[in-house]
Amino acid sequence: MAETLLKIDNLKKSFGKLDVLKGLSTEIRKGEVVVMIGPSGGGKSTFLRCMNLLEQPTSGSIVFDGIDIVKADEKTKNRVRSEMGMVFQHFNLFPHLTILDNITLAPRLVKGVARQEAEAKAMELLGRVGLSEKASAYPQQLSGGQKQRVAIVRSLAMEPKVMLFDEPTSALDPEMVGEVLDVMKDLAKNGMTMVVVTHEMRFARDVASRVLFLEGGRIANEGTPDEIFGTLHEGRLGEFLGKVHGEIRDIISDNVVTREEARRLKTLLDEMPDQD
Amino acid sequence: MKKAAFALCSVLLALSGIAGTLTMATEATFPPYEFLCGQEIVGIDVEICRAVARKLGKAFRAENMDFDSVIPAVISGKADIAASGITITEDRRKNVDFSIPYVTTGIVVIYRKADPYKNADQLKGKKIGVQSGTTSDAYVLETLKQEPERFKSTPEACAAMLAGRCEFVIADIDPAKNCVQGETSLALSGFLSSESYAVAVAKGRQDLLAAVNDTIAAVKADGRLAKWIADYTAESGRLKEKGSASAASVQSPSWLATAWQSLRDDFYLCFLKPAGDGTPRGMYLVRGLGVTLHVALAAILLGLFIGFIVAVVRASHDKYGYFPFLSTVSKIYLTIIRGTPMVVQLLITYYIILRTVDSKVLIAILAFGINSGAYQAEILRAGILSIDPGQMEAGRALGLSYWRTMLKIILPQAVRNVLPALGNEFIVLMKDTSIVGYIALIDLAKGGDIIRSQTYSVYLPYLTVAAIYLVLVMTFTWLLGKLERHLRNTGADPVRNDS
Ligand SMILES: Nc1ncnc2c1ncn2[C@@H]1O[C@H](COP(=O)(O)OP(=O)(O)OP(=O)(O)O)[C@@H](O)[C@H]1O
Ligand SMILES: [Mg+2]
Repeated sequence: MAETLLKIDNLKKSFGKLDVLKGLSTEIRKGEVVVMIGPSGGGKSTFLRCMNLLEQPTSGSIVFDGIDIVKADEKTKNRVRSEMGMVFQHFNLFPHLTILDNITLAPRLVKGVARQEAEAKAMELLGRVGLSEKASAYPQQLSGGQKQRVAIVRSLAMEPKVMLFDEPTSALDPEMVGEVLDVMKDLAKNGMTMVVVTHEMRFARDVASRVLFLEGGRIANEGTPDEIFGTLHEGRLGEFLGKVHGEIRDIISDNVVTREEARRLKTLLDEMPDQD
Repeated sequence: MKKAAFALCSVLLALSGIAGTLTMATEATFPPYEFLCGQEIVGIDVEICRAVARKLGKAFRAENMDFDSVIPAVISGKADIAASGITITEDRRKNVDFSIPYVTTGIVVIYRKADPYKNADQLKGKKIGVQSGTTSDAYVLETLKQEPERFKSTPEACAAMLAGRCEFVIADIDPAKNCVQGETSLALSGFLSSESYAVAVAKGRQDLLAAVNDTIAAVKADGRLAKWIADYTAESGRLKEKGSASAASVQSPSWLATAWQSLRDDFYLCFLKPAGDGTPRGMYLVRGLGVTLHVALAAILLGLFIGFIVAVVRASHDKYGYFPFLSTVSKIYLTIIRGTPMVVQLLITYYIILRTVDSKVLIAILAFGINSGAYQAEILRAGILSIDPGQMEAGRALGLSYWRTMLKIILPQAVRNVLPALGNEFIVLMKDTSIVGYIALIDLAKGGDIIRSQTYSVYLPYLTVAAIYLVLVMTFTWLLGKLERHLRNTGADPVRNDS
């Protein structure tokens, strides 16, 4: 088994009186693709944001590279963040910078990479996601899917040890979801360690090495995709998967989607066991 | 015709002398001493001479002539006495006898007893306060060949001296006396320069001279002289107003040509004619413009610097609860600066906080910079708060520190969002610097005011100053518009934040 990259132990987070994470423990090993699913408000985003310390955990420990980063000083925390990539639902590209500058800003400022070198690397990565010709464009000149691909490249340019994704396709028009998921699949194939929060069950099923079901601030279920999607479940997980299934069916029957969408949704439906 | 009239006059004059008339020679263009009221010659000198005639039991007439002819008229016997605001000089004493002076005016030095004034050599190179546009102003400029510290009034200049802002004050004797009265730490020097007016009579007319001296002593003693001075000063002031009003209305057929001519004259007087130090008056505006630009630009930069720091501190506190102490300090700063008038802040900086600082430009830059910093801070804070929190998160997630993210990611977008408001603040600041005259700094506005005080011409100096400000603001607005368009063309639409 590959070595452990992140060891999370009894992680708790509360906002004032609201306990959002109620003691999470798990390990993330090198090269793993961990997919988190769960109902809204279950704490998936909060968990992800605690991993790179965008949120300061209330208690518990996160051991990364041999040190407990929860108690680290500010400088160490900055370094740790620079070694973890994060992709947001709303892309969060820097609108005042060109695509190239969006990508090279952090390598140059944080790692002190020379401009030429940073730009060469950025161009290579852009080439890999098929956006070479957009290097000198500004973010608002790109489609949602293109923006998210650039956001992924921006994270990759820092050569992170792990990539965190928080619903990277949820803000996209359906026809653009595929191009982003393809990039992510490619990353997974090349051995990138990834933690992905998503509602794309097909992606979870195809790509995940492990699926976590987060509910009420705890890891309610955990297992391989086959264990999660391939069997019938009691309790909340069953309810959740059934609801996802039902929603998709409703969408198709209500005929509110384009034909292309419908096709995509249907394949998704086919691959999921009926939980009813 | 003129010759005939002159001959007739001479005959009449000679006759009247015999017939017991006292004739006074004067040039009636020197109010309040002698001036024309309608066809009649009136004034202080006229009253004195009339009193002499009464004393001698003679009839009285005043004869109007060129000033150059006044003394020759008594020498030649065409007139008995000459009174025309004539200053006693040694040259004139050779030709005529002078009465005792009836008026002595002049300028004196007001000094602090702690730092006594001894002689005029002390004045060179010192900071000397004067009331703008007075004889004292001209004295410092022309005799001492240096720029005075100009104030709105002599008491204001004295207050500045007491605050250590200038070493000496020079003023006319009367206002100077008023200032020293009741202010035990101040004292007056003798006259720096003075003029004594006296009545001239032909040499050898001892009886007449004695009568004149007696009369002057008498009118001085019983207060009549003081009353005449007061009355005729008021009267001549009234006439001046009426005169200029009628001059404007009596524009005959070629009023356009006249107006053009007077504009050209005014232009020459206000801008081209050399002031005391030999450079054209217009240089007051040129140098003033330099001061205005210097103060405004430096204050804008200082204000930006302060504004950025305060805005970041306050916005960080608003959003993340950082810097509670600095945020409180910033709040106090904002409250004080925005709660008090700019003029008061300037005066407090000048007279209290930076009283030991010599450079008034520096004082103005600091006062305006600190003031503008408060307004810029609030504008920038609004800008920072308008930026999507995702921008900060994206920066931090890439490993950038809080400050780096602020500087490289948040602030550039914040500034772009608030550029119009910021530009407006710059324009307000640029115009606000026109109050630096309060600390005797000569900026564009004060430069125009000095020209007005030296030339008594109001339209051209003030309208020119207004036009220069307008051009400055329009140029600035244009540059700002260019910058905005440039940013719009390159960056994202500021209202959309889901990039
Ligand atoms: N900064 C915050 N301050 C206060 N409460 C917060 C904050 N961030 C999240 N929460 C609360 O924590 C709970 C978990 O939120 P979180 O965003 O982690 O859920 P999630 O599983 O990602 O849900 P979703 O699928 O809707 O994104 C929610 O009740 C949310 O309101
Ligand atoms: Mg979420």
